[in-house]
Amino acid sequence: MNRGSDLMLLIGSSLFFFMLASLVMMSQALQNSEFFNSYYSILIILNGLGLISLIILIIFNIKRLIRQFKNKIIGSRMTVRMVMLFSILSVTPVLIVYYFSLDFLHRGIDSWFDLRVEQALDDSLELSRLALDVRMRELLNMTEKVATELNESNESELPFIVDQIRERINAYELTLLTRKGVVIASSSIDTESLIPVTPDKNILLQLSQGNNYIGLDVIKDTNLLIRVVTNLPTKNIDKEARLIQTLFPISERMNQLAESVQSSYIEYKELSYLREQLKISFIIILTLVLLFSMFSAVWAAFYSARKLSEPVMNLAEGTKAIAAGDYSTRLPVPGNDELGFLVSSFNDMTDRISEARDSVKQSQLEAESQRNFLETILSRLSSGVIVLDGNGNLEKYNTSANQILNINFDILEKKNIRILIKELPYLTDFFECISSNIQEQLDEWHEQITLSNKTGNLTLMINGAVLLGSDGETSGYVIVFDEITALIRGQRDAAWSEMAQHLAHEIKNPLTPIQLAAERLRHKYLSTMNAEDVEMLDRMTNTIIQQVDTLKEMVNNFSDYARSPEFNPEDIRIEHLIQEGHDLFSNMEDKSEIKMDVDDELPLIRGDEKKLRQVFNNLLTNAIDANEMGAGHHLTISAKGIDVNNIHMVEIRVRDNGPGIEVGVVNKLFEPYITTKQKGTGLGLAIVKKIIDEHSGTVWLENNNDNNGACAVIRLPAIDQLIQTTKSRII
Amino acid sequence: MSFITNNIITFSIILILSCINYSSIANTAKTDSIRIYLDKNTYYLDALCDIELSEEAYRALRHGVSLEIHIHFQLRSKRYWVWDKIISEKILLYKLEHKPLTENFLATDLSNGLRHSYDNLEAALNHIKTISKMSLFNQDHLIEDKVYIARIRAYLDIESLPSPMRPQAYFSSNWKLSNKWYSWKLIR
Repeated sequence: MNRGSDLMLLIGSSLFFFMLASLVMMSQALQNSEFFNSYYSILIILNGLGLISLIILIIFNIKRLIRQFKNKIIGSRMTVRMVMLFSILSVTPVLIVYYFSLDFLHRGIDSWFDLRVEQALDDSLELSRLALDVRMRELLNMTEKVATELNESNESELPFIVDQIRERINAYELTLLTRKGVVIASSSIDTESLIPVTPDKNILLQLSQGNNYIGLDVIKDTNLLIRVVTNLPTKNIDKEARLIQTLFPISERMNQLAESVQSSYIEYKELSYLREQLKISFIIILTLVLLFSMFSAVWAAFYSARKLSEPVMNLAEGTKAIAAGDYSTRLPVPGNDELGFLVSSFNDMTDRISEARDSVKQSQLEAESQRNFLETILSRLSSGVIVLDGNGNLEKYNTSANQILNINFDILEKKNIRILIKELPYLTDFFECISSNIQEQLDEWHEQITLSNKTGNLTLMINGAVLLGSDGETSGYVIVFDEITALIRGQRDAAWSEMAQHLAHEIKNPLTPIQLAAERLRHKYLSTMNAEDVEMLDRMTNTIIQQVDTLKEMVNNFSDYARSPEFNPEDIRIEHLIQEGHDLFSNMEDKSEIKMDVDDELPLIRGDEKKLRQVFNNLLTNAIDANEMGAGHHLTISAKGIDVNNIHMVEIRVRDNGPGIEVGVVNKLFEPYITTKQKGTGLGLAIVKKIIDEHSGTVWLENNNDNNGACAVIRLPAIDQLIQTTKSRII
Repeated sequence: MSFITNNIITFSIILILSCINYSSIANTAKTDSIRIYLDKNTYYLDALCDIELSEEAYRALRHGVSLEIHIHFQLRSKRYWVWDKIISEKILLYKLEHKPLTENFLATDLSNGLRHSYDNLEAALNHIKTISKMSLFNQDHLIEDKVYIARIRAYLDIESLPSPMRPQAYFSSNWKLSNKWYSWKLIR
């Protein structure tokens, strides 16, 4: 833009100075400057071309301005106003000056010419003629006398006589010639001139008609000469008619005066004749000057308006750029004036905004980094974390929160805790706990709750704290909760295991002596007692022995549960174990219908085959026992590969058609000595749970959706997942 | 005055050259109004130009404006791809003025400064329009049998007019030149 502007200035200035010089030269030419006079026409043409160029320049500017105006380019309206204002301000006085100049021009040129001056010049010319006429008449008389004298002269002496006469009458030249103009004799004061001046055809014609000729002639390069031509008197009719021509010089003074009068007369006449042309010429020059001034002013108006509006346009563009987020815009400072100060201030402002933006961006990046850091930590935390804002709306949560509560918080984001209580009835206790603690405005609180659902109980340890904002006011709440179900269960299992070992040890020891003592009593007194007593002793001792056996079995079961046999892992195809269990129980129970639904390609698992076989036996036994009162057993064993949180697992489901499990005990059934059956030790499911835990799997019981029986679900990690887990542990 | 037309300055050259004579201009060429001839290896020109002044030009002359009349002769060699080559060129410059004191018309040959005074315009114009034995060029300048184009024209030099008159003279038909070239072929 600057380059274009500079070019425009250069072109405009060049044109301006060129036209100015051209107009000055034209003015000089009109003032009869010899040098410029010869270039007058060229100067007019050049000025015309200059004007046309100026007009083209202005048209170009106008077109550009109109285009900018139509396109609503910023600053175009201001430029239009400024151009119009500048143009009016500059053109108006020029037009006024032009109008009065024209008037003065007409009056001034007309005032050069005065009738009295013209009359005086005519009179002076007439006076000069009269003065010369007197002298010419004298010379005519003298020439006529000379003609008579020559007519009487001897032909042979004519050249000498002519010369003598010329000298006598002080003529410049005296020539005797025929009427056809043939020179007979001549004498001249100019000795260098060999050829005499002869009268032209018109003079000869005039003489042939018998008239004399007298006139002022300019002959050769001399001053004015009086030429007198007269016929010689005819002596002999046969003789060819002759004539004599005399040239008389005029006195130097008279010549000067005559020339002066004549030149003044000519000049005045010429000037008078040229009056109108002179006016036209001056008007042309004046008009050229007017147009030149006007167009120059208009062009200057364009240039100035553009120069003035340019910083404003730049400011507007800069503002737009800043509004669009571009803070790198630097505007050229136009100068040290107020606009320059404004633009400079704008640049400073841009710099500061840019710095502030960079600072904010840096802070954002840091905050983002901090947030990512926190989110990474949160996502890796096994504890569930929920953040609520000051109004109790859900702000943040981590994946563990989703997993522990088995819900998707994504769809609950920004929802108020009150709404969550209503929308999530199975988590009512959880959110009620949080809500009540928030309402109590406690800075920190801890609470343990147990949630129950169809898959069992979920024990959570909830810790809450108030988040304080920069103003010290409550800005939100953070709730951290852990599932401690397994921990409690583990503690309980450990206690049970310890108690089982202790019981086994304490109970098993006296059982054998009791049993031996009973058998001894039986052996010693059975043969010696009467029949009535024998029957009673037999019944009593049998009862003791049977109950001792039962107690032994119970103690052995306790012992088995408490003892941790060696774990011998190997790659197992789980479908083979399922098939074995199916075959075993299908043959044992006639009225059982056991279906198998196993995927063709189940992944391998790593585990102890014996222990897993016991798991299936226990589960199938439980399933059959669950429908003791039913007409028939309809069991289904299914197995399939699944992905749980990107972990490949094998899911085995053992489904019965029994009465189902009460919700209150569904999670307790895996605890030792808890059973809903009439008979049984209550250790079957506890052992299942223990074995599955040893295999890094999960097991739970759930009621079927169709309210027809319950289902035991086992999930065991597939072998590739195990390898990964192992590797990660090694690392 | 019969030699003054109403509205134009006509500087027409009556150079009526018979077509029959085109090829015969070997040594001399002669028509009623023009004659070009060879004399001692030099070509000479005799011509009579018909120069007429418009009433406006006559009025200007009577008011002291001097008129400059040019008679321009060229001998050119035809070239097809570029402009013609000028072999020889001559310009006769005359100034015509009116002297109010003597009521004479003065014809000045500007090439040698010789002045001729006449008491009427016709005589003065006769002096200007009559070209007598104007030396043109040497015969050696011409190649034998080659056709050359000779041309002549007379015109009023507007640039010699006073500067205030020039713009009007350029655009006014009263001062329009009738300066068409009159051309003819010349063969050595």
